[in-house]
Amino acid sequence: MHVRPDNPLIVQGDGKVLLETKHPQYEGVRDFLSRFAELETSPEHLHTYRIHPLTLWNAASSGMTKAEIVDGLREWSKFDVPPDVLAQVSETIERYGLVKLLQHPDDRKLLRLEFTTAYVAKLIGQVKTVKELLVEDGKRYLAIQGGHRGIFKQRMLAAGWPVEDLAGFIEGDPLDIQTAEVMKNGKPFLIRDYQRTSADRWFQDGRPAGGNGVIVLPCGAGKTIVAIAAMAKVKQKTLILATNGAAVNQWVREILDKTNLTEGQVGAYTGDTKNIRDVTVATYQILTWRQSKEAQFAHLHLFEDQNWGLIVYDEVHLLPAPVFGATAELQGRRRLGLTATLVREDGREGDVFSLVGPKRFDMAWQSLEEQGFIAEAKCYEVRVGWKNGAALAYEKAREGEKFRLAAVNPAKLEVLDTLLKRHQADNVLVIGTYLDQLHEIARRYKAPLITGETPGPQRDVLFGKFRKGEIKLLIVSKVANFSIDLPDANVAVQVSGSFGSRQEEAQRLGRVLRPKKDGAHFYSLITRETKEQEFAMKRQLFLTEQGYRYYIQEGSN
Amino acid sequence: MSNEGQDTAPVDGEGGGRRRRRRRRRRGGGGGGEGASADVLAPQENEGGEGEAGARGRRGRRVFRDDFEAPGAGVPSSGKMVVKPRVHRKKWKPTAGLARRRRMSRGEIDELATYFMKMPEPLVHALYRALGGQPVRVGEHERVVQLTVRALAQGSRLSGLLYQMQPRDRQALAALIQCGGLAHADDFHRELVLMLGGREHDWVRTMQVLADRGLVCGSGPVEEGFYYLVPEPLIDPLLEHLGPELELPTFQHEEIRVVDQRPFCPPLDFSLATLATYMDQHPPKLTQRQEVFKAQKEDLDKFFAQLWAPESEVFNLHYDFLMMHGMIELRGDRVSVNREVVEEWLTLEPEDQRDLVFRALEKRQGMAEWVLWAVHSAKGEWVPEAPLMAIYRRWKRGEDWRERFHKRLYTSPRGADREGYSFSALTNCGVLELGVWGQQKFYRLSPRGLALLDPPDDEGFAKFYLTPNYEIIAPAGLAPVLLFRLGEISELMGCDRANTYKITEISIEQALKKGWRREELLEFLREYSQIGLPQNVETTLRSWMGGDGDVEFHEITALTVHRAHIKRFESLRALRPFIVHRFAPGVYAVDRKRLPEITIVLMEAGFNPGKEIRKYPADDEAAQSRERLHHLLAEAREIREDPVARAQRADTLPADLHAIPGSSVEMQEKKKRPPKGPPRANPQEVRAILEKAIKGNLGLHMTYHSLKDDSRKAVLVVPERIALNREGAAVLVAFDVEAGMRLSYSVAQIERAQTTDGRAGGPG
Repeated sequence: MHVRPDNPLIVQGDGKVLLETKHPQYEGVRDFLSRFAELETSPEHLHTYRIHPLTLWNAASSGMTKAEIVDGLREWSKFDVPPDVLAQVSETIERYGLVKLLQHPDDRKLLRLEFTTAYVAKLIGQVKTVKELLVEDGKRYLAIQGGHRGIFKQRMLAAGWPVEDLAGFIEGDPLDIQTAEVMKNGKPFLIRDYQRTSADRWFQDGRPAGGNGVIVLPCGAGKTIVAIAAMAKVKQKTLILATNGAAVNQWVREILDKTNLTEGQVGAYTGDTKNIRDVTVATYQILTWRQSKEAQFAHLHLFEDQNWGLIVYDEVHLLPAPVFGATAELQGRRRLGLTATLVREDGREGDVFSLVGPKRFDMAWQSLEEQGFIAEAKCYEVRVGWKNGAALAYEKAREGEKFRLAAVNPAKLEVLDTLLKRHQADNVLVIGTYLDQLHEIARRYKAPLITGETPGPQRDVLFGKFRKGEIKLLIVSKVANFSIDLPDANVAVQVSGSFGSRQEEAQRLGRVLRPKKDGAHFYSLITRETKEQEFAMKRQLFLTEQGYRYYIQEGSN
Repeated sequence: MSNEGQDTAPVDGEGGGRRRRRRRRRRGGGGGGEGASADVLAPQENEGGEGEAGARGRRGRRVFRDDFEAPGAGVPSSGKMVVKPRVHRKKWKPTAGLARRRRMSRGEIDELATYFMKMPEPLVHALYRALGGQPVRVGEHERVVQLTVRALAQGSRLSGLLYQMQPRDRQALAALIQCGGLAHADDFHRELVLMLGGREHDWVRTMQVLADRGLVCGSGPVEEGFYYLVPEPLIDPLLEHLGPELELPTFQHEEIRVVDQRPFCPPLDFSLATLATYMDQHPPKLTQRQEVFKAQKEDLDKFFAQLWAPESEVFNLHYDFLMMHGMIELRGDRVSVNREVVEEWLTLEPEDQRDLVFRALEKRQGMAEWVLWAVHSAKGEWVPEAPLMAIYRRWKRGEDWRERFHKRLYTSPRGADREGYSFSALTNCGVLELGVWGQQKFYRLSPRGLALLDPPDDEGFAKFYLTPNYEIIAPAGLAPVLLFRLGEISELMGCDRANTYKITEISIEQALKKGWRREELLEFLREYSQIGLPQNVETTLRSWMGGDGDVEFHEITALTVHRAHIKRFESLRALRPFIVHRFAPGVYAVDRKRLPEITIVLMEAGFNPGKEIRKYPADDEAAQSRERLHHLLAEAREIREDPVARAQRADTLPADLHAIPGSSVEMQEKKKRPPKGPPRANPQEVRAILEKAIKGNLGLHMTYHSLKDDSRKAVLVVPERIALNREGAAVLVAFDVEAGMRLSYSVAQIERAQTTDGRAGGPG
């Protein structure tokens, strides 16, 4: 067993790669790894990557060779690289390109398949799930219907045959879009290196291998800018899908601020306004709206209304199931997914990858924090006890009730008093799930409250006041979990959450991650020794795996 | 076999079984053999001189050893020393090489002279003649011996002699030495024919030539046959000069295919510690045939897929090793891990660990250790099977001849000269690798075998990674005892280049049951985690562990050592088996049943153990007296008062203040005056009243001065007993009638007390 303890990598036999983050050559090795391995967890000091077929094929599609990967692993590994891993890298990368998908020379509705050898064609013909999609194309060729492009690639991938998709994309209507040099506030607009890199990795110089995929960046890292950079590369009409009306307005603001587009070229398509322009920003909600369960989705036509050259999915992990189907039919168009947390509680992350495209870029939160691009965040779990016999009520409650009782524990308010006193000079968001509790908090501190019932314009006014510093304390329900840019918020207090939802925790934390001098504080108030603490443990594991510093404190302290 | 690409392993100090011999000598304290060159011979250890005879068995194996040089702190099963013990290379690794020409010491020269004086004169004369002397001109035999010894002491004379000899003569001599310097003549001729070709009578002639030169002797004229013998003092010098004839050929070719190569071949201590942990956490159930149930075996094989293939002999080696040494045992129908034994094994010195492994391997393949050392001499290159098998055969036959010689059996055993041998036991166990190139087979040490023979000093891993998400990553190369202890406090999740563990509430609960204590566990993680103990992990662990076990009672026989002797005491390895726990330097728990043995070992080591066992408390009466003293002390504390304070308090107690009769406040005073309490009493009086009340089972009115809020309360209690609180002050335990509960009152704070006429009603 040959050991080189000074190297930063440990390559495990199952394809897991551990990287020491305090190693002097961490950054170089991280960049190397990120090209062919997926970042799984990034707790402090030791990040875990995983090499699997999909990531290797992505690497192959971006031009990375087998030798580059093998040599790099050998160079940086503490132990000899497991032969199994070397064999996997070798075999997997060699498979890429054996099956190619090309434009049909005669029939625009078909896509032709090209196989390296007749033997490969024979093997593909034996894959049951794929066989039904194949169409005879004369005597010599096989083809698929253009509409089956996504599903074909998805099934081929599952069968271990990555398809090199050289069919290209449908070119949308051209749009002269350029990034602005100066923003509205007079400051120069600069795209950060990692934003530029992620856009480049997605676009791949316009080659057919690029043009679709997901970019994973922490909240506050500027995913909108990445999308703007991508739009500036594609230069075609763009449809953007966002989570809610506030997020739509924010997208419109950002595009107008950071591109050369005018108000007449950028439209919002929501419940309130329905403008279809060269760049249209719509909500997932409006797309999936229908009058009754049996009725058709009334607005799905939006995908077809214009000759879009690019579709951007903001918070792609929230992609609703009906949009899955529509997206599967849009494989001919360029697609960009943006997210901070590619975890779905329903476990359908794989579907997102296969429909929108593979993960093209991922960056650990710590790296951005070290560079000062996002705030240095500290997470606190504050454990609160019961008061005035509430413990007894909790014990007597039915199992289903217990979580709620623990979440709305009145004793949390005393701790909230202390925290608000401590942060009275800061911009504080109090975030909760249970409306009664939030109303009580709003009354107690005479602070404005935003819930799902708050009308859009009123929300915008309140968010605006908060941004300007006119309001120092804002109470919000889970409507503010996503896509709300509140750059000055530096303290968030989560008084109740949704059963340990990992993405909710990360998104709520994301509200305070916009860079600021004194860092950010994220408090979760948890009732001690209850169901809530059990769920909090799951969230704790998730956040620590993401690399956030996590402290546990007693409410009495 | 083709000789293409073939090379030979240089004969130097790295060579084969000789290393083992060397190591034994040093450790056994014998002076001989220092500096002799190495080869692949081992059976000739049987020729060990008088100095070694006591410390070795017949095949040169150590029977006991009691004079280890290594100091090193004795680490008992408490496993305080969890860093990987450093390998003391010098203790066993020979540094001699061909280049080193050793001068004989005075003692060696005397030993050689004594040996030659006992040899028949013509043999010594023949040797002297071969070395270039003229015995006829010397005359006296004693002088011839002196000159022969002197000639041998000059290495060049013997090398000159060997240089002048025919290659076949040298090969025959080398073969004889490989057989252990002793061989049955007829058999040996056949062995030479088998090995080098030719005809038997040619080899008879060759042996006669060697005899003429005094290098080979016979066992005496017996009709049935005789044995060739090499005079023992000549063995070492001959080894030095017969290098090329003794070495094994080596081979290297890039197309050699390794058969059944495992992707990961860590040192045995790593895999043993991991397997022990796994079995501790997933105790396998055994069938009636004492085999692990199929489903569990499949799980186990899957878990250790990086280390061995399903149904592999590597697993059996691990399992048998653990079982053989009592690290696991069958309890009921499940395998259970003896944690203390595992820890003890893991803290043994690497050499001792290796000896145990060799012993286990010997059970699968005779002379396994010698084979490994022989292959090791090739320095990582491949050793062809045929020569390795030939030398193995000579070792085996040498053993057989030796046994027959000692039994005075002179007939030829025959029959074994074409016996084939296989090294599959060693390849299956994963210590040797089998390579195939065309039809040829080759052997070399696997990384596991190499780590066994040549353990690296330090792999550079002293600590593990504990991340805030409760995961522990422990790279192979970390001290195995550390790995094992990690397995006690966390769940083993994977075995690979870096083992992964997960701390869970259940694992912590299990750790507490295994005897871990809160602070000990936290300290362990803090000390051995590269990044310390994350705050969230520490807080969570504290909440999981609670406060149990902060204080514990032990029933032990303790052994203490004066601090001046601690170092010497801890370096005494013979004591290790008796020490069951090391509390601190100088304080140990020992097995009380083995006190007589411990005493003997201590006395042999020059300690003076006390004759009496000190008892705590020394005797019952003394204990009672001590208790009495404490009671008296408590009483004294009660009545201890600052006289000045008492005087002031007596004058200014508010309860004693009254309005002056006739004054305007007298009437108001009368209204507000609290009901008059019992009479005031000094502490002795209070004590007497209390005792009277307790004895008479009477109620008690008293005024109690609460220091909390400096208030005085009149209470009615039913006294039960007088006890001592944690400060050692006397308190009255009594049932407070009004409060309806049992309370304790500091006796010193009772200012007034009076018994009631009858019992005022108690808890019942």
